[in-house]
This record gives sequence, C-alpha cells and structure tokens, in this order.
Amino acid sequence: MAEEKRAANDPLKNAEPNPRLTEFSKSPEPWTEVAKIEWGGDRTHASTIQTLIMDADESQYPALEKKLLAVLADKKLTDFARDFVCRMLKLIGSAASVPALAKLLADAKTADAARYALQSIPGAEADAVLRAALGALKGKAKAGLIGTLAARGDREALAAIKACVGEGGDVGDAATLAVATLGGAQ
Amino acid sequence: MNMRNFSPMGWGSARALACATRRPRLGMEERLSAGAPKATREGACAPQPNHNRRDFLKLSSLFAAGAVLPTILPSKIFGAEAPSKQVTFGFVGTGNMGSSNVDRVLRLKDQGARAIAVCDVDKIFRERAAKRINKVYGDTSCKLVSGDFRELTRNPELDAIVVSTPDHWHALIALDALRHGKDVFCEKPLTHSIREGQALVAALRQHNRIGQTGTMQRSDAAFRYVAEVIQQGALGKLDHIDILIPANNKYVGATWAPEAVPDGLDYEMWLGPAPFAPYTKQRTHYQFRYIMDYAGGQTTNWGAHYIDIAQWALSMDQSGPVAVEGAGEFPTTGLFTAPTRVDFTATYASGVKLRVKTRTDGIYDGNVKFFGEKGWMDVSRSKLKASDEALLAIGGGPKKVNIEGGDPSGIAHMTNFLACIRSRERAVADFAIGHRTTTICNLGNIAMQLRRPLKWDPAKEEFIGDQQANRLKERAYRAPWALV
Repeated sequence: MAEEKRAANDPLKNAEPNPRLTEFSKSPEPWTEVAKIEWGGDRTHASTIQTLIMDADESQYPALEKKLLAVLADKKLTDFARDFVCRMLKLIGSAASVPALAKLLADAKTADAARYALQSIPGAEADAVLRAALGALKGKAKAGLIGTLAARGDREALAAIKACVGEGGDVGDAATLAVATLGGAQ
Repeated sequence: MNMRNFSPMGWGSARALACATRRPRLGMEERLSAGAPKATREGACAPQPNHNRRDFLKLSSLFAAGAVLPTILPSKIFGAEAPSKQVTFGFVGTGNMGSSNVDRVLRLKDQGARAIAVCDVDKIFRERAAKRINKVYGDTSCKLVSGDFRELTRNPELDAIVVSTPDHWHALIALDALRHGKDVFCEKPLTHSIREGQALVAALRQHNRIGQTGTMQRSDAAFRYVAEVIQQGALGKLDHIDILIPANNKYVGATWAPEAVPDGLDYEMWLGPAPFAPYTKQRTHYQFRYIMDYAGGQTTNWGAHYIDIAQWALSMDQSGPVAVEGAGEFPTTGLFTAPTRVDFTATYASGVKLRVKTRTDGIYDGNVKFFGEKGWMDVSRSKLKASDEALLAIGGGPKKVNIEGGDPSGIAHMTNFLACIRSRERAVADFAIGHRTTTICNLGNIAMQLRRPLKWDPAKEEFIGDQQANRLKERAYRAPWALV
C-alpha cells in the first residue's frame, strides 16, 4: 500500500514515508505495462504475467481471467499485447471470456487471436460464438474458423460446415477436410 | 490457396523419368469417398521379382539391422545390382537438414532413388538444392517450387516427400502428402504438438503410407546395439536413465526490431500456421528452433534423438511415461523463448526415471546413459562406454557399417525408407515411434513451463487432472491453416 493511502485510524499515519516503499509503489505494474508492449519490445512484463498464470492453481483462475480481460479492453492495446492476452486466455479462459473474444472473432484482423483462446475454452458458450462466426467471416479467416470447429470436434457445426464445401478455395478445402474429420468422429 | 485445379505443367522430363504406371489422381471428394489408398502400389513401384532386386532388399535389411558388412562399402557397389524402377522424391525444405537429406537421396541414385523436385520458401536454398541435383544427374530437370508445398504433395509424379522445414510446418505438410498418396520422410522432431502427432499417426494408418521419422540414430549400429542388449536384459532391471543434451544459451538481445523481408524469401509462407510476428533475421533458418512458436528448443531438437534411444531400449515405442516434472529456465525477454536450461524427469510405470538435462561442458552432442542392476552403458555419436567391457562385446559388439562418403547412419536411415517404400513394411522409425518420442519432449517442455508435477496417461494421451497442461497439447493455427 502506498504511504499516502494510510487510513485515518492507522497508528502509522503520521510516520515518515518509507523511501523504499515509495519507490516500490512507483515501479511499473505488469498488468498495465503489458498492454503497451510492441513487437520486439522488452516483454519482461508479459513473462511475469505468464509465470503468474502458469503457476496459479485453478481457484485463482477467475481473478486472473478478469485481469486479462481488463487488459484486453484497453483501447490502446498493441497487436503484440492482444496476441499475448489471448494466448493466456487459452490457458485459463472460461465462458466469462467468450463475449470479449467474440468481438475479436468477428473482425478478420483479430479473428486468429480470438481463436488462439477460443479453441481451447470448453463449453457451449464458446461453441455458439464459433458457429455464429461461420456466417460472418470470409476467406482465410473462415477457413481457419472451420479448422477450429473441427479441432473442437463440434459435430453440431457439421451441417453448416458442409454448406461451405461448395465455396471453393481455402474455405472449400478446409470444409471438405473438416467434414471428413467430424463425420468420422462418431 | 485452392490447389484443386493444380496441373503439373512443366514436368515433361521428370515425367519421363518417373514410373510408367501411376495411380489415377483423385479429386478431394473422390478421395474421401474412395477411402484409403491400397497398401501396395501397383505398377512401377511394386516389387520386381528378379535376383538383383532381392539382393538389394537383402542389403537394405542388413543396413537396417546393423548386421555385419565389410568395413568400407563403396556406394558404387549398389550400381550393377540396383532395382530398375525408380522411386521419385520431392523435397520440402532444403536448408540445413534438408540439404543433407537431398544428398542422402542423391547417394541412393544407383538404388533407384530419383530426386525430381524441390520446394523452399527461400529462393537461395531451393536454387542451390536444384543445382546440386541437376549436377548429379547431368541435366536440368529438377523442378523448382517457390513456396507452396502443395505443388509437390499433390503432384502425381512423386512417390515420396521429404519434409525438412521448421518444426511448426512438419505435421501439415506431412498430412497433405499422406492424403495424396505419398510416402513421407519427416525430419525430427516429428511434430510441434502432441495433437499433431496423433493426427499424423492416424493419417499414416488410414492411408496405408510409409512414414519415416528423421531420427537416424535408429539406423546407427552403436545405438541399435545398446537398445537391443538392454531390451534383452544385459543390465538387468533398469533403474534410471540420464540424458544430456547440448545447451541453447545463445543471446541475441533483450529486444529486437522488425526488419524488411529479404528478396527471395516468402515470409508469409514461412510463418504458415504460426502466429503472426514481423520478420527479423534471427527468427528464420537455424535459429527458428529457439522460438517456441516454431519449435521446442533443444528439448525437442536433441531430445528427439536421445529420448528416442531410451524409449527403444525400454520397449516403450508405443507408449510412454506416466508422470513428468521439471524445472527449466526460459528467457523472459528477447526474441528467443525456448528453454536455455532443460531439466525434467519422466517416470515410467515400471518405476524407471528418465532425466533429461542440459549439458554444461560445451560439447555439442548428447548422450544417454542407462543404469541397471548389472551395471551401466553410455552411448553417444562419438563414444560407447560401459561399466564392464563384456557389456560392449555381446554377440561380437556393435556391427559398425562404414560407407564411402561418410554419414553411414543417415544413409542407412534413408535406405531403410527407400526399402520400405518398396516392401510396404513399416519403417525403422515409423511415425508412431517418432510421435511417442516427440510426445516426451513436449511433456518435458510443458512440465518445465508449469513447474509442477504432472500425471500423464499414455493410453489416452492426456494429462490427468491438469486443465492447463491439457490445453498445451495443441495450438490453434493462423488462418487459413488447420489441423483437419
């Protein structure tokens, strides 16, 4: 806690500021700094967060997920940071992450990053947004989406994927193989 | 990119060299409805019942078995007795190991191997490889393909594809080749994720193809000797296995700057299924292996070789350990992300512990040392030692094979692949074997990242009770690529 925030009834409220504590409180906050990292920049803050997430036990996931989603909502988020946050959500993300990821999925420029997380998040919420995106994405982004649906073994998406076979190109190729994969996964 | 309408134009000279009878080329939907190709090819690549061919296969099997051969075996000895029909090879990735694999196939010219096409995203590499091939054959027939491997994997003129790309591409290229009726030699580590390995093995069996993992120590006399005598009980009950792998402590700065993609490099195709990242010189070519988006560091680079020997000696080629824990060190900034210090232990159901560590003596080789109730054995590419001299002389000891031009295990490994293409027998480093070895490498990296003991079910191929670990078994690909 910073010195200036001591409560009125704190017996130390009139104590001289501890210079070491003051300096510490000024040190960068990884959860804030990570949003600013550019490609090639110092990624130490990202590594700190990654270690926190990988070391956490499952009871800590909801709080960490909430922090990641706050970073994802940063309007100045860099491309590197978006990619990083989505990869962390891949590890601990739940249905709580799905609405934010759905927005990224709808944009071809950020759809890959969204899938990095969504492909590994179990549950009907993730299934639903992935299926819904089939009607919105086109071209390469749609082909990648079909791959994610197949990787999740989503047989409920089979009919919609079959309808993509005739589109040809990347989409048609991905759909043809996905139909074979899902059709064979009885 | 839609390759359905791909037409192999410009293959005239290669076509003339290829087999006279070919399988009819099926469209994608036809292939799906027709089921898997037949196990034995009809036509030119089928075994020919003549004396010369039998001799060749016999020699090939001797290579594979590490049996007794003269100390020096001139490569030209194969010439007069070679089978008449050619097996055509295409190469995807021609730098580093790709270059070595081109040379290996070229050295099998007199046994009917014919290199006819190369594909590389780097113009310099593919042109160098084509030049080398044309020089050996004395013509200009080698087909050059710029970046899209599908021009090779889907070309009916080719029998076999050799994949020597960065690791993040292995599975997708190999899968496409298998689905289009090719036999595949794929460099180690076989895949970049556990799920990729599962998909590759399933496709190999579904399409009845030959798949050889590039772990050529499987075709080395000393490694074979150690694995086999340990399997036969030379050390009694095994207690533990120590593996040392070379260090990756290279440092290229805490930060890096995006650079312009050089002329002649198709960087978009180089990245392929990996997440987007701007080009910088240190990212590509040999250094890719130090970045976890494309490889698993020395854990998979060298672990794929030496863990493979441990699996072999343990007779665990179709299975694996039941637990893994580790404590490696990973760079916290900079371009490279793979562990700079590897240290993990995998435990088998038998109780045997396999420890893999980074060596600190600066030697750029690995070694594997087996400890059992009757002594120990230690083998690397340069030495074979044991607690008792008698352990080195069982059955006369290793049956070393030297051939003119060197690289005996590399040549033997490719020879085994060629022989299996003809015989339709499984290769000495069949993809299922490569997958199980690569799995342990990946288990090690996951355990070192998560820094906690993990339980592994080798039958179901899943972690027990660890959500994060299971999510690390696979990765989503950058569009349009997909593991389907």
